[in-house]
Amino acid sequence: MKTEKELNLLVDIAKLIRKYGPEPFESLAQSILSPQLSQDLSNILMQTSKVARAISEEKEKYKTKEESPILRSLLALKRKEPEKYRLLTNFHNGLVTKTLLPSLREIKEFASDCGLPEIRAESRQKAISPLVGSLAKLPYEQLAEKIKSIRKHGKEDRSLEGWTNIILDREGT
Amino acid sequence: MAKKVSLINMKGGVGKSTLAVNLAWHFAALTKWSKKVLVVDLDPQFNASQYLLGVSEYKKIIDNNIPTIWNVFEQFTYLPDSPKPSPLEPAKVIYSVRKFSGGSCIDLIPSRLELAFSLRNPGQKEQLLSKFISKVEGNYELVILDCAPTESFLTMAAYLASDYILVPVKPEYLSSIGLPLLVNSMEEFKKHHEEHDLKLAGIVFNATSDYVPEEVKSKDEVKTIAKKNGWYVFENGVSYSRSYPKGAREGQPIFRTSYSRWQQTQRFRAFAEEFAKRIGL
Repeated sequence: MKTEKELNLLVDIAKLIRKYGPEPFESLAQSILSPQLSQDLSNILMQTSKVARAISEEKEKYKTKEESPILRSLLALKRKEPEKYRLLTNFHNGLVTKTLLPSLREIKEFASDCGLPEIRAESRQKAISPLVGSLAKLPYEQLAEKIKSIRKHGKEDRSLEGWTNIILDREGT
Repeated sequence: MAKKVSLINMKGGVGKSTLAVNLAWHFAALTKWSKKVLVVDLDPQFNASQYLLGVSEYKKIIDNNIPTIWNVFEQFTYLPDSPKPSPLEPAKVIYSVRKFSGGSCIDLIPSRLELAFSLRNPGQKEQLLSKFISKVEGNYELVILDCAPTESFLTMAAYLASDYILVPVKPEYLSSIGLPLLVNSMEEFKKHHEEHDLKLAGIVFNATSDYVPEEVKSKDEVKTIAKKNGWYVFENGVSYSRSYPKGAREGQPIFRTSYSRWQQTQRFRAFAEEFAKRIGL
């Protein structure tokens, strides 16, 4: 046995033998001994592997193409302004994971409130890049203030319970 | 010089705070206006503060003893075991709610329940608000005062601090009776303060639905009285919409409230534009 993968394959084969019984396997083993079948199988496997690799490469290319401008500008910041880089990267991650500004409307309103150029994107995903790009141009202090304002307005407690606690705590004081 | 407008009606529940906050948003957030707006919450029930701040921000103010409108009125009240009272620093009372592009903003002087206690001991406090606002009005283009629905020294303070009065009226029988009560109070004020040029910007019908018979009757009655007395009634009323209470819950104006209808948003916009014309904003 050479590798763990081969061992796993053997376990899978053993399970299949238990499922189908030994006869089909013996018959199949005879057929596999034929050189032509081996060649055909080998060709199929090669083709499948090529297609899978090509798809994966395409995906990677597409991903890089989509993200590169913003990633490039963030990476440029990493050397020049590490604090700003950290802040923007966290902000970018928050946008990607939708923990910050979870709708396109919120992104557009945030940009407008911050005095950033209008975001014309028609999907939330496409709006992330211009938003982060515009924010990257702000000085660190201003940027921190803008991002802090999202936290301030983002998840406000407006519950009746919250107000009741405030009002009842104050009664009679 | 800022335009200073009090939203007032002796009847409660006519939508003063909702209109005050929505007007503040309209003039501060829309790029067409980009105004610096100060909202003064003059109501001990502090609805405008609730709408603009939310629980946690408001709690910070209370927990950290950040001054509120109460301090404006009580700044010279002498308390035993406390340092000698001194004038309140304006910046300490003004709370930044939102900042927008081009420098426009919504700031707030929040209110608190304890303001009701000031009512028990009015003294000469009504002058304090106008003096205080005169110190900060240079920083703003519009000051909106959201008043309590009762006649008290707070009403007097609002009159003294304002150039205009905006009267929201719900087109309902009892609500419309609040109107002559208010005008009576305003006339009384003018008799005693001839030097103060307080104008009635107008009466705005709020929460209208246009086709209910009782509503039509109430509107007609108000319009008739207004015509007789030369009071302006806004052509554009503010229609009833569930998006207003929803907006208050979300801390957003009608035009940013999720799923608010375009038609309702437009009706508010039309009123706000007419209001701006009336006060020369």
